[in-house]
Amino acid sequence: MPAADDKQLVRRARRGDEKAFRALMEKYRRKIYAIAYGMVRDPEVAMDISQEVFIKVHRYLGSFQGSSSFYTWLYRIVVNLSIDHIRKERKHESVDYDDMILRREPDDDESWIVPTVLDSDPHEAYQRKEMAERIGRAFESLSEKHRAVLILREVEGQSYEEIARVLRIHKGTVMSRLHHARKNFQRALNRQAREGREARQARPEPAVGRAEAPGA
Amino acid sequence: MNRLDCEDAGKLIERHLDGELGASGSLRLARHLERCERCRAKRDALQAQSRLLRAHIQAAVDEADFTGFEDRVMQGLAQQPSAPLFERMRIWLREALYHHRAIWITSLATAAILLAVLLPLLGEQSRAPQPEPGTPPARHEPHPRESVARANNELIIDSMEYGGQRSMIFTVSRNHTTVIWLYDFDETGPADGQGDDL
Repeated sequence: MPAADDKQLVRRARRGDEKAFRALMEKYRRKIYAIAYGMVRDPEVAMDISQEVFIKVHRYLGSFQGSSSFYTWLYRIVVNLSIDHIRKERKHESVDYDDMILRREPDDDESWIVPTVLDSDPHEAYQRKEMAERIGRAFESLSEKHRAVLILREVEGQSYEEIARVLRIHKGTVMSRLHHARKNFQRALNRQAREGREARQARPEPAVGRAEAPGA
Repeated sequence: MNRLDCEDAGKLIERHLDGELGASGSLRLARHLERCERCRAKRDALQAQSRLLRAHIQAAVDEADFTGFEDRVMQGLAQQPSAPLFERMRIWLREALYHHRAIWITSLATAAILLAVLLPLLGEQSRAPQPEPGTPPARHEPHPRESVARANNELIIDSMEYGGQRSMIFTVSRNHTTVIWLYDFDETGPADGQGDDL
């Protein structure tokens, strides 16, 4: 990420250069939206949060020290705003696997088996939609801390060091949190796959097959 | 080079996939994966999981309509009053303290040590007997202990950094005191600051 460009744009935006601020928005809006969407899983809310991020950035640009990267600051704001939103809107307790509890659990290798049902029939639109919903639901079952660390690593491709700076946690905590997040995500995917299999088994036979019977 | 067992390999797989494993670790892991089907399956599962999540989020981003995004933000800015001065100062101070904490810590530590050493010295000086007015100043013959103390009245400040930790060493030869100040200088900060920023 060219930090030098950011510094220049931030400097100009601080002086009130609207073009520079718009350039920063254009550069980061997709990334910010991706994080917000991953966190809140609602396109409209994610868009609102993304806009709010830039409003906050503009308001507090004068307070930005410049010693950390601009995107680190930006990512921290979007993660925090998303977490605030989740906490406000939470209707039910998320499946927040406590890290301490997980450490006491045996390392069951079964949970690392890729749920084959998620890869099945990828060309069929219906299946794809269903698959997307299942992935979304599995991800939604994670705690917000686990979601944040997974998105920053898997979607934004940030290093442990960068994630640590964004979330203001130690690098060791990033590694351990990522491990537990992945494990929980895998378990949730397996659960979704199992439920999908059961739903398909319970579904009635397609009408096309039955229509052929009288003529046969 | 020791052979990896599955437990150790499991720990390295994630770091390897995250690009955080060094060359020698990657080599050891590759050798283990060559002969361990179970660990290969775990690696493949992790990779598949990554791909699924990336594709899922990417699809959502591709579907999003960013038309007028910047204009809406600018409108939002126009509608909202600028942040209060106190709030801006608070954020500025917190950012300044966080990002320049090494300088703050070093300065405060130095000031504290200097005060601790200099104040007793000043106190001793003020307690010294004053000559009578009109009498010529007598040549001061120092007490043997005092002369030693003054001759060696040095404050040596040294600092060193090792493995993310910094130490400051203050040696006061006057009273044979050495203060070693160790402090953690981790870039990532001491605590999880989620939710408290902006």
